[in-house]
Amino acid sequence: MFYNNVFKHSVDYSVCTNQCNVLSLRKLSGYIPMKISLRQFELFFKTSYMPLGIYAMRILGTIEESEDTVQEAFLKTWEILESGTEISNLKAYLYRTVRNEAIRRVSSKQNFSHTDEYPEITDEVIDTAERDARLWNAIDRLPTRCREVFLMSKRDGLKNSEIAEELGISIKTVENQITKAFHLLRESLSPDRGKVFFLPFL
Amino acid sequence: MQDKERTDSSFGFVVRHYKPDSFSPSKAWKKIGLSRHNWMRLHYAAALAIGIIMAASATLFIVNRPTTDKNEISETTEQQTSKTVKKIEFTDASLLEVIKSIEACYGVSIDNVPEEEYRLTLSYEGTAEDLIATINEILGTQMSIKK
Repeated sequence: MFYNNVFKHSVDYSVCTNQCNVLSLRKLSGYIPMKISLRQFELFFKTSYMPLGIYAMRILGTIEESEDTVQEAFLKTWEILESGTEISNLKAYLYRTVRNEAIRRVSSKQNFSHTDEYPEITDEVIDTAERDARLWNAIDRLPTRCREVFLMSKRDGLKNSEIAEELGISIKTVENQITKAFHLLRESLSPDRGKVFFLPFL
Repeated sequence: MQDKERTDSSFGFVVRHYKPDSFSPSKAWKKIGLSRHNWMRLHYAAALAIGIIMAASATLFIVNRPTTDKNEISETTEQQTSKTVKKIEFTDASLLEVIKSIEACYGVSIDNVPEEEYRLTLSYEGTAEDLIATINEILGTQMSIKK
């Protein structure tokens, strides 16, 4: 039972954390202050990922390749931002990056350049991508049976009678579900739904 | 009219390509690992800080550790008990020597010290009563503290 005269000493240390508060974005403009924290970038990522992905899909044709392209674009952009390079319009920059990368992929598969086939990035292009994303999200949010019936009819091209038979429901129910789906999707595209709100920066 | 055409175009395109669980921002964010990248940096910084603290503690311990002289007695006081706790160390000392040291250290007088030659190597922390009782147990002696 040797008594160790242990030197008791408390040491305080702190690890720096990147705690930045989220700043407000101008509605749909994509303008973000020059110095951006990872948290801010993450918020931007989460709001822009789907529209960019669907935009890429208009060029590439597949979901998987579109997702890869957009993820790579974001990673490269973050590396550029981390290196201290300033980007005045992050949204437009990302759309251009995704467009260029998607065209490069298509061109390399087919051994000739497709640059002229795809319009330059304009507000209209971005608006279209964001509308596509709202529709996509709206389909995600449809009630399960309603979505199932709707997709069987509009995506898979089945007749109402075929859907009714497959699902064991009446044709009337099929018609009602499709009407309900259209109503909900139309609502998602109403002018007020078009506004995107971001958290206020401090 | 132009708006309607654009809406119809979006509608047709999205419905044709729609697949559930696609374009999930949360999953994609996790996949690209930027948050993990950040977390790893903090993790390394914390590990480095802990390493520095441990090295500093080890250094301080080595510098401040007690000496290992033979037959050293040191005294510490346990504030939680009324009895005085002492530390006592002997290496191959005679029983007589040990008893004399205990008497001097604890301020007690010990009875029934046997005449046989015993050699003790011990490191002990406790009261005089406990120490005598322990020696009695080990050697089979009958020593006691005079009251």
